[in-house]
Amino acid sequence: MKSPRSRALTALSLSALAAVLLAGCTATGTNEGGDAAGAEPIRVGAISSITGPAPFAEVPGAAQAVFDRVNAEGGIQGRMIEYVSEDDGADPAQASQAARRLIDETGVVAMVGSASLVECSANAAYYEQRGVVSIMGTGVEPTCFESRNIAPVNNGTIQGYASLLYFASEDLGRERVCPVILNSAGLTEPYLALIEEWQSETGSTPPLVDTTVNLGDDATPVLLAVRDAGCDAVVFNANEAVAVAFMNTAKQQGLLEGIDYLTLTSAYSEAVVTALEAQGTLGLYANSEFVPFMGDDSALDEWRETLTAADVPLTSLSEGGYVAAEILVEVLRGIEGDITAESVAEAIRGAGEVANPLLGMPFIFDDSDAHNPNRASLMVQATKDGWVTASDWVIVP
Amino acid sequence: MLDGVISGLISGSAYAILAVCVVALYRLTGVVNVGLAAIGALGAYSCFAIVGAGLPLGAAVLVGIAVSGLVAGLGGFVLARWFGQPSATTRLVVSTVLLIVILTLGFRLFGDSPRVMPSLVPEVSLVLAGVRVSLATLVALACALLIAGGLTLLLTRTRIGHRLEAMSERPVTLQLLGVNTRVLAVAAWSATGMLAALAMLLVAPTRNPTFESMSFLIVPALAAALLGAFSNVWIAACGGLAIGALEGAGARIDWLSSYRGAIPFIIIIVALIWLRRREVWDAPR
Repeated sequence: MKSPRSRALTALSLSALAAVLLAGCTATGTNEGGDAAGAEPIRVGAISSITGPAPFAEVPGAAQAVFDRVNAEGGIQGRMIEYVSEDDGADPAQASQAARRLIDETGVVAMVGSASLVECSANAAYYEQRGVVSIMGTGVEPTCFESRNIAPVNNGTIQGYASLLYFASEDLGRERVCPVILNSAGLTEPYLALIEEWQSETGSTPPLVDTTVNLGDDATPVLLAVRDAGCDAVVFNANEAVAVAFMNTAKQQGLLEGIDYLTLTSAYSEAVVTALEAQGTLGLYANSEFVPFMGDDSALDEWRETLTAADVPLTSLSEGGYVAAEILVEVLRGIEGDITAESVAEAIRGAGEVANPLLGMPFIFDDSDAHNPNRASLMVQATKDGWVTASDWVIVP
Repeated sequence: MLDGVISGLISGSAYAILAVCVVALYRLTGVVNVGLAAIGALGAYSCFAIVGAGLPLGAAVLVGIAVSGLVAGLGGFVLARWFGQPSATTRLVVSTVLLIVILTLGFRLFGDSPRVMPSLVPEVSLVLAGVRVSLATLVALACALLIAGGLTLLLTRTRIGHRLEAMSERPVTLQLLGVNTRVLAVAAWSATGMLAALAMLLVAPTRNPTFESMSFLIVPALAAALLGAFSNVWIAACGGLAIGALEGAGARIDWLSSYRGAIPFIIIIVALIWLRRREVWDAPR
């Protein structure tokens, strides 16, 4: 009986050792040798879910690529930008520790290009207390869009969903638009509130608002309800895998003809369109929160060049990290005098509208208590030629 | 209502196959394999990965089933080799560890990006009395019943079946009689693993989101197995089908729809209370 126990102890101590070693590796992406001019570098931070259930590594990766380019061009006021990107592992405790480390020890002047599942609710109050602003690359939680010191450059699921509803009723002219909400914790109520707003704004009366199925469960019951309600458009929330499964279920129920399907930007990826084509369910619409990255718009050239050089994947997510970093660089360039957390916050709030070629509307980080500056989406549709742009910018009022 | 029930039957068939396998493995080796669905999912995803690489579906299915058989056999070997004698609790813990290892492995290997999941059965559907029934549902249903029937025959009518059951009851006695119990255990694990892979391949086109969600199809299957008190294959199979049908129908009943996800757990609680109705509740265990 002794040997298994001592073996277990060995295993335990080994895993503890591994944890310590791994913890030492979390602060990545620091830019070394950026001291060319001898001046102290400008430190900016990011906290992202780089490990965990939904890894977002390319968002801070894209921001890093922008800063590397700016540094190569001589930096800001002759000072290099040092980007300290931390991983929260989708764990609020780690996110909150990382924020304290970055702000109190590293002394970052702003947060930029974060993309996290948990960071906003963990750190929004702290950012406000310490007067640090965060331009997020990808905001996920509702808190990201409801905080004084955080402004994501992406639409977020709620605004994204709204753009789909407006597109279905106003642009496609569908009269029986059915919102389907696949339940996930904490998001159903904001969706319902938004649907009410859309109804009063457009005068639409959905024949069905379905909230009966959880995200990831078999969607057949929803589609049977869709059939019975006689919907002519179905707007649903999904991640990549769920979007593919949902469309397959629609096909099995013989409900592809005569109904438009619209879903969130997560589905806008190469893997999804390949899977949709293989199972014979093309036609799905998704919103693109930036200029569609698979398109050939010339606004994408610089983005593509910068990211390819830095070996960062070209995705919708990396557009977010790129745009966030570009906006910060523009703000930093406009600052005369000392660059501190205070002066950056002041500059960004005073900057008014900051245009970016990849955004459908100018970015504003004003003095208000909530920020959802990007409410514009372009719709893309899955076709046999891949995702093609199917609309003009849809701006949610 | 009826179409809700029918739509639930395909998930129900998967629960039934898994439940039957869980019961059979428990009767043979005394282990509740909570990682069974994950083992099946590993095989199913291997199959999809191979199809994605351009190989024909038939070969991919065979490789997928073989992968599950291998992994399950390995799990069976670990249990038979190092945990042959310990208590039921220890064996359950080991099987839970196995689940976690396979979940992690699956997530590492396959991530959560969507995959092309071809259907094993031609995508034909019949309309019976105004209800759409896919061929896949019928095949899955037939598989569930065949597997339950086959296992019943194997366990009650064949020499190997008796040996297998003796193994879970009195492993030491059987070993003294010169029977290689380890080989039997590994074979039982491996066979149930392969059946689990088959179940997963059948339901994948309708319930495919991620490796993780597939692995947790074991929860309703365990509820069904519990209904059969981990001994009756037929009650377990019918229980699995009933849970699937209830989930499908529940979506159309307003007061029930929000709680559908809880159905397996409610069944587990009720079954536990019923099975233990004659026992002293506060007795230490």
